[in-house]
Amino acid sequence: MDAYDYLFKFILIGDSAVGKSCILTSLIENKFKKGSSHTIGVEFGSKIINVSGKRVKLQIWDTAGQERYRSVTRSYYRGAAGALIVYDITNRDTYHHLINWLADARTLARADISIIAVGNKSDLKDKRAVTFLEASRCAQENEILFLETSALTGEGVEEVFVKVAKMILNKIEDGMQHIEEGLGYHGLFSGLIDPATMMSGVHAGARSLLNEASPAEPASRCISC
Amino acid sequence: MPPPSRWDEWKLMLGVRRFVLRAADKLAGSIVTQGGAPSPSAMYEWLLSQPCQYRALINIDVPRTLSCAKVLTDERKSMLTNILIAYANYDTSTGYIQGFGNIAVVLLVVSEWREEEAFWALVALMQGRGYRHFFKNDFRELTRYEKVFGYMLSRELPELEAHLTAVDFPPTRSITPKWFLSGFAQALPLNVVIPIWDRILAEGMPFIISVAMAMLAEMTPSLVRMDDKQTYHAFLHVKENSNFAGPQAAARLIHRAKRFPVPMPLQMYLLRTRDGFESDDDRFAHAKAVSESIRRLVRRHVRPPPIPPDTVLGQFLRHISLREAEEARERRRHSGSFQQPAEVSTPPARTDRSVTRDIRKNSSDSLVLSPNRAASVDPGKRRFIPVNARPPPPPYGLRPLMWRARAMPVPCCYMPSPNLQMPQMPQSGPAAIPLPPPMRAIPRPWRPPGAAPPLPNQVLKRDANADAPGTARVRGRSLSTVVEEEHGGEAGSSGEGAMSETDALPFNQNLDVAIGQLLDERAFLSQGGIRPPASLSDLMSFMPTPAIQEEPTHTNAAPSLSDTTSPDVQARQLVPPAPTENMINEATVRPHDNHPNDLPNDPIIPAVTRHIVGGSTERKASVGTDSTAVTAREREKEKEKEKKRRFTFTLRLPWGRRVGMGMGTCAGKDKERNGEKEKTRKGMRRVFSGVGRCFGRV
Repeated sequence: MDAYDYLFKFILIGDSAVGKSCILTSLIENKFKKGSSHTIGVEFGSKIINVSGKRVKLQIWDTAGQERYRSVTRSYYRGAAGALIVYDITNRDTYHHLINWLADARTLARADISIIAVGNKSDLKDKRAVTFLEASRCAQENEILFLETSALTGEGVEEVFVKVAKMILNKIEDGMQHIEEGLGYHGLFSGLIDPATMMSGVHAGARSLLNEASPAEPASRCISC
Repeated sequence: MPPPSRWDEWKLMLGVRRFVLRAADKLAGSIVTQGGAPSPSAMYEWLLSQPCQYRALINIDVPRTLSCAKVLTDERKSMLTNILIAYANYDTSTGYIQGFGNIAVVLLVVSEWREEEAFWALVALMQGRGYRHFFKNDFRELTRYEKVFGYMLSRELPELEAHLTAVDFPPTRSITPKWFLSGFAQALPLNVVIPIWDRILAEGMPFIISVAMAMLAEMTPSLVRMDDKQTYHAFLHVKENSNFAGPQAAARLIHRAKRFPVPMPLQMYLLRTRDGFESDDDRFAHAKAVSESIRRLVRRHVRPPPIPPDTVLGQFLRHISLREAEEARERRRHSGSFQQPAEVSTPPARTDRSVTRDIRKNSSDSLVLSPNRAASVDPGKRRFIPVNARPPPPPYGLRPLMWRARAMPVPCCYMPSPNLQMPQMPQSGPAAIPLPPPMRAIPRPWRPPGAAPPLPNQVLKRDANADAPGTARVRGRSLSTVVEEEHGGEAGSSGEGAMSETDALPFNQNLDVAIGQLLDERAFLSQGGIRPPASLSDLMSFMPTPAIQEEPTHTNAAPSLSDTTSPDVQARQLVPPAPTENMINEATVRPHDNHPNDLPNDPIIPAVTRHIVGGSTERKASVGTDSTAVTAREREKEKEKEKKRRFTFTLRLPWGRRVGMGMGTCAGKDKERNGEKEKTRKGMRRVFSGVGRCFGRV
């Protein structure tokens, strides 16, 4: 098994048929899967990427887009460190629903979840219904990241994940600094990282703190520092 | 099921007619007809004509319903769309949920693209079989199946579960939605899915868990060697897995699935039996606990633990089986030719009726029996055993002993004692061990040809006459003497000949005790109407014991019962053997008022068989003779006392099932214990009802 420094849980949400599963397939297998089926319930994928010198294992939950599946999807928000809200740039409705998905994620996930809005199908330029500019402005207003991708060509797919992972890493390092400055970890890791599921072993000091918080989980599974 | 009739069978199994009638009731108000109920096609047309809020989503989903990608033309796509829209309009509380398309395609394919029939079958499947509940109410049903699946996985395939956990692949959550909600249409090729649905419709929805378990079991050998990425890939492309393709795949999967039956309590949990549980978790925990305990009981009581081959007993069993194999081979070899030694075809004891009858039948034959016929008069197969009359008697020779030994979980004989030197068996396989000669040819324990056998227990070696101090004694006799007695006079009397101490098999002390117990058991059984082989020749010559025909003890003991039991109970009654002192002393009475469930807990040879102690005839007779001397009043008193001393008891299997009841009389003495007068409950008992043949092994 490959060794990794961190394990991040991501969740892919968005309307039906915007290309969530295709983004996932494109990330993991580096190819576009033609004639793929609609997701039933959830699907699951994982990949290890390199982010600023760290090996980060992504565990990605790809959810079904239909409203009816929302109740199932909700149980996956909880452990997620990052959320990718996908919309279809050729379909304005899916863009409008972005706000709903965002609200969902904000209420159900942990407070400091890192969210990115992803405009998919950027290869279909002539059918574009949502401009890059308005989308990025919207993202800025809501304080989330934004990128456009094309699962078909693979353009921007990995960047999306790297960007979110980087953001989470930054948050972790901020947390480290806080600890080193003597501000304590109180309320910091509890919001930022779920040590039981997402990571283990950051720094010696932090690890001991984390392990105190939840001694159950697998320090042995990861190698670190 | 041959393919042409499959659709008819499916419709029957689903009970489509019933749902058409129900729909007619439901829609009667909305559809205008010229009298009478609306026809199915009219209803279908009407449902299609209604506006549908899911139309857009269905239009998106139908082209990307993967399971139909190959079979789907545009016309068929529109059929699928129609069915889904009609269903969404019919079952408005459910509507359309992504995933319905997969199972609808399966139905369409089986119906050979008869749209309307497939629609009604879909209704029947969704409502009658509760398939829609998988999708409704926040997928609550799916969660329940997921729980059971997770339990089964950790129970049946623990190594796979450990592997999946190690590679961060959550087994249940990532598998169940895709496999269960699509009815395996997204996990298996269509030609495999359809036969599997045959079985699911026949066995009920919980069977899908068994199928999923079978798929995982099929994948396990390759999965456990994969890293996380490969594991993920394997599950994503499970449909392309070559294990699940090909004409035999479905049959193999179904066959495998039957090996993973969902335990009955969990099936009841899944089928939502109404009960008093507060929450679903409680119900599941209860079902799980019940199935666990059943499993424990079954393991403990039905299946004796396998005897490890490296123990003394295991090796002994192996010798026996090897010897039997050799003997069978020998027999086969002889049966190939008509020229054979007379003593093989006609053992000395076989001068009984069966042979003479055979000769009479084919009077033209010579007196030398044909070997095939000689084999066919194998007495073990010819015996007449009246049903319910008695537990089947053990066959002859050492084999029954070993059967019993195998069945008796005597832990001490599984563990070789520390001072025992195990014989070093060659590890290269069965061929390396010198085969024992056939049983019939050598009427004494087998000794390897050539040099002295590699006797393991030189420690235990001792003179036949003088027991070394500290050697094992079984109830006053050393094992060797027991064996000698068992094997009859000629071996014993010839002294140095057949059964010397060095020939004895390597038993250690623990085994001595165990075998001693077994022999006791056997002696007991033999007194219960089963004649033990009296001599060695008897033992070896496959002589049929005439025990059954000549066993009238039944009638001796019965009269006293006839007044208390109905005739049909008597018919089922076990034969009470003639009472002996030994049995009465050995039996322990546990009247049900004291310990209702606390019967002697010998799990394999159930307590019950031991309790069949019959024949209160002796006692009654003695009472009768006594009473001639005393006055009528005293006799009355005696009767009163007798009544008081009488007690009843219930025979239960260890898990509480009542298999019989009986009555007994206290013949014990008054005893002082802790200042209280107490009657020891020792006495004669009699079983007057119970089940018959199941006692052999419970």
